[in-house]
Amino acid sequence: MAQPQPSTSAFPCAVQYAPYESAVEVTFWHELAKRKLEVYMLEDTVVDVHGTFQITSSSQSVETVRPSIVLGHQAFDAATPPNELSTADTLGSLKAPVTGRLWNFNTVEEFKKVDKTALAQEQAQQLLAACQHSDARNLVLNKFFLITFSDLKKHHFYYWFDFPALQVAATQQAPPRSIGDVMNVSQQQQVCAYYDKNTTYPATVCHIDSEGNIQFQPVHDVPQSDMSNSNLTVLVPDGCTLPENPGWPVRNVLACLRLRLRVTKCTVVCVRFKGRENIQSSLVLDVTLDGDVTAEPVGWERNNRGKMGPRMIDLSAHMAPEKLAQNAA
Amino acid sequence: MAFNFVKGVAEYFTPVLTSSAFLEKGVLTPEEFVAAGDLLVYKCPTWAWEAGDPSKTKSYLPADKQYLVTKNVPCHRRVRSLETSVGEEDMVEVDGEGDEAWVSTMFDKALGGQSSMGDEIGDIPSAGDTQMGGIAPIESMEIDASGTLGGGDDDVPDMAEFEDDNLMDTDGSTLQTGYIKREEPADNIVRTRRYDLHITYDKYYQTPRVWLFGYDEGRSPLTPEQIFEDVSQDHANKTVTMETHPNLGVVHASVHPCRHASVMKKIVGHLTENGKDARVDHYLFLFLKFIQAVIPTVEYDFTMAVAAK
Repeated sequence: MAQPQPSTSAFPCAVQYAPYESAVEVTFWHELAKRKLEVYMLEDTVVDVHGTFQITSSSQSVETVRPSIVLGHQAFDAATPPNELSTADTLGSLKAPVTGRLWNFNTVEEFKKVDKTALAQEQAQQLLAACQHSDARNLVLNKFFLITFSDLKKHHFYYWFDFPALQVAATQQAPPRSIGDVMNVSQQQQVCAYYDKNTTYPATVCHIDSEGNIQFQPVHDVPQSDMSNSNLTVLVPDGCTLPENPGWPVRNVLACLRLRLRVTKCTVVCVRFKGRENIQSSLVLDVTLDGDVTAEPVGWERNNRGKMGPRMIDLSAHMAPEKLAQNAA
Repeated sequence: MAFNFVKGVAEYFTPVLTSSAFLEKGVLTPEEFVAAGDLLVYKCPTWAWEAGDPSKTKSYLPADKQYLVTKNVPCHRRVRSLETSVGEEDMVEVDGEGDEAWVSTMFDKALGGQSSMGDEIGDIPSAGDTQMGGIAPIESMEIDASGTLGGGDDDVPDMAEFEDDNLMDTDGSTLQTGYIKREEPADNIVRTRRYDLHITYDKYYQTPRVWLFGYDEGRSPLTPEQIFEDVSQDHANKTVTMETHPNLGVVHASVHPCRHASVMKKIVGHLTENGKDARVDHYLFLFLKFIQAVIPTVEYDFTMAVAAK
């Protein structure tokens, strides 16, 4: 198993992003099993699934967490991606909907033999194309891809997440700074107010005017141009609490800034919420970007043995009728 | 099980509470539950409303506000470690004074033989001030290597067969974290578990009700026995039971609500005695603070500057 790396003391150094963690709820597998029996049957299926990217952590938590993507029972519900329904949304729950694709295989052999490198490459390539695409509204930088095989007799579910990623040479010039170094309290409040309404934006450029007010401009609204001479300040909710590293979402944002705006230098504010009104633990990185943006076949999640492999969840205790009868007794 | 059936029938016939009895009885109407839930979601955005399975929608609650959830909440210690650290002192009568008085009362009750005199209130593990450094020996826990539960060993496939060492997993921009794991001396490895917490409205008891679903570090569901390791010993088995979630139809651990109203009434009484305004929409904050006594190491959010003081 890979061990956490000691803090890199020498700057400049390459930016290293903390990979996503998948968090699939048991109700998701119930729903998949049901669909497999009633809808997909013996077909291999590729469907859209909707998850949420958690951009806030509990103000109680003392633990360091990596960014996570949660899939629940409503993941298959195309009409109501999480967060887009309900009046609860007007209260804002500081979670961003993320859409991914699920490829369900009918046999374990097919699941095993699928070419993962090619798949990851293809996913990253699509991301690259989307990034170059002129229709900015379709700019989706946070994506996941998931392969599954369901052994419905044993109630075993095999799954493997891929979080497609672009690659750009990004260098951190100095140790991370705290948000207090770049924004005063009132400006931090403006950022909180902005995210109350705009959790879905992967990245937002902010300009601080002469009176200290922040003008927010989502990256997808910035016209494609050459901004290689300006030092942008960019907000990215990274869903991570590691003290020195940004989370995976920052990676594709930086690639996008390089690709679309030719950015060579920027200040990235990894916005970290502890509750709705506290972003004091946010991380500020001074980054230089260089060279071309490429699609890389990386992003497969490690399994619980720390290896490149799928995970398996055994729900026989939760699904097998005889077991349920025992529990109920 | 028999009781649950009886309760199910009784619940069916129990009329929905319509007028507020919060101050007198510590109970809630569905409307008050929704108002309190809205405030919880607003103040603690890790919480959200969910609709659940549409076929199980309760008519006395809005369709999109059937229950509250907070997901993937870390729980990196077992309760046993907490109880070891506070020792085995006898229960001491609380000299209730100041704002914290009722809180300490609650925690004493929950943690059993914990002393609660004076400064030691500060040692009560309200997750907000837990620090790993301050907690003495952490018990190891056992999860079998495959991280699975249930089904006999012969059913467990060899996951190594599926692995692909040639797969490119890192390109220099990937932080090699492995699992973020708390390394303890010797072999006492504590794995961070995750919990999904749900709060439903229990029509029979007219109080909120907490449901727990736990996952180990490999994202396998915890067994009831494992979940009980995260429940204060005074509550495990007695007040925490395995039951079917009313909106999801999946078996969850649940904190049985039979005493919720009387406890809440006591808390509200303490508040008003101390000249505090007991607002019904603060109910869930008080309630979750009390529930923390049952599951003290699950780090869910319930802080609100106003009520928690």
